Amino acid sequence: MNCQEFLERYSEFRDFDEADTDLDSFKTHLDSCPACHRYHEVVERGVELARSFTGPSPREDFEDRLRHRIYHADLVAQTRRRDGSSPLIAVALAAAAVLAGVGAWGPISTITSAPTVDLPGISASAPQVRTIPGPLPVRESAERSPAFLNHSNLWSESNTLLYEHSNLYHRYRDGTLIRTGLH
Amino acid sequence: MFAEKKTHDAFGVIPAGDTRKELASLGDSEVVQKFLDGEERAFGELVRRYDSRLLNFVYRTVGDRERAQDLVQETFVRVYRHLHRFDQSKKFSTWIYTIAGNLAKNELRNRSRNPLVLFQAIKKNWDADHRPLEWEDEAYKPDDLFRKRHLKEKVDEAVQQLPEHHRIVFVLRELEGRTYEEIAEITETNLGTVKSRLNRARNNFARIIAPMVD
Repeated sequence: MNCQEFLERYSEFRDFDEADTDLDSFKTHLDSCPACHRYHEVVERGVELARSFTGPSPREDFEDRLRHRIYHADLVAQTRRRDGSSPLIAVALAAAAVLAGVGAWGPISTITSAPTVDLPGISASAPQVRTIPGPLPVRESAERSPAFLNHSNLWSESNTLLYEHSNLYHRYRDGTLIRTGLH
Repeated sequence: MFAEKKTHDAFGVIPAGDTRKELASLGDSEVVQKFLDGEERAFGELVRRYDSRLLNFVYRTVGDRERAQDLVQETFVRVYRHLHRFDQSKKFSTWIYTIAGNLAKNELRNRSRNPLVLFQAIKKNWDADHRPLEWEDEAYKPDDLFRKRHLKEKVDEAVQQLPEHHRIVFVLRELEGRTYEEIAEITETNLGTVKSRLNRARNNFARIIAPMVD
């Protein structure tokens, strides 16, 4: 046995499977190989130390808390049973929901013959064409518009309407009112 | 424990002390049967038998004392609720360790949801499974008093450093004394996997603690 084989089969030796393990070959190698001997010692000592390490103990209130949790688990289970939410009823409700869903599903409803209804023919008339009126006379609001906007073709009717409903117009109008003290 | 649910004692049929002594003298499977027959005190006996052992096992698996307490509580709640489903042809201890082990594994899985942690865990597991088995004795530091003083804690930390799938088999075998067959059942793996993981876990453990052990 060489060191590699010893390491690969070390658990056989440590766990001492009498049926399968050739213990003599392990022992012979251990006696002749200081490195593997040290390995075995380290594992033994390490496990011994790990076992001696005092792990956590259950808290003082461990049993009280456990009793409390079990009591509530029981209570919840009883409430569910009382509310009729047993698995059987849940399955029945689920089945009913599935049937209702299937009933409402289109392909099923098309299987039944739908009644034919005669409806009057649809007639449509073209909407009346509105003519756009000519330019309106310049209004007071336009007169109060900023000077830089008053150049030719800017105050056509459509632009005037747009301007009268714009935030810019209201800001200027409000500013004028505030300045003149009319508010 | 759970005395208020016990009707026999309330009616004075069986004195509490006698019941406890009687339960303490029974094997696990008999205590389980008592509980299933309506003896609520039997559950208290199971808790007394397993609370510390499970706590150590879960703590060594998840490395968090407070969380271990919660997980062991959850283990007992599940046992209480599902004991009627327990296959009594099997060992109760294996069953309860399986429940605790699954809860511990879920805890570790939830923690590793972070992609970086997940990557690190995968890398650590891969390295631990594929690194050649080797043994090189690192220099011991006899003058390192701090290490010697805290040797037990350091060894405990070394167990925590093992990858999860190695740690659980290592703890079950070396610290809990479970057989290979029981470990295979608890970890839901086959015997070959248990042997392989245990051998690698021992090798990793030895490498970590060698500098601390004289």
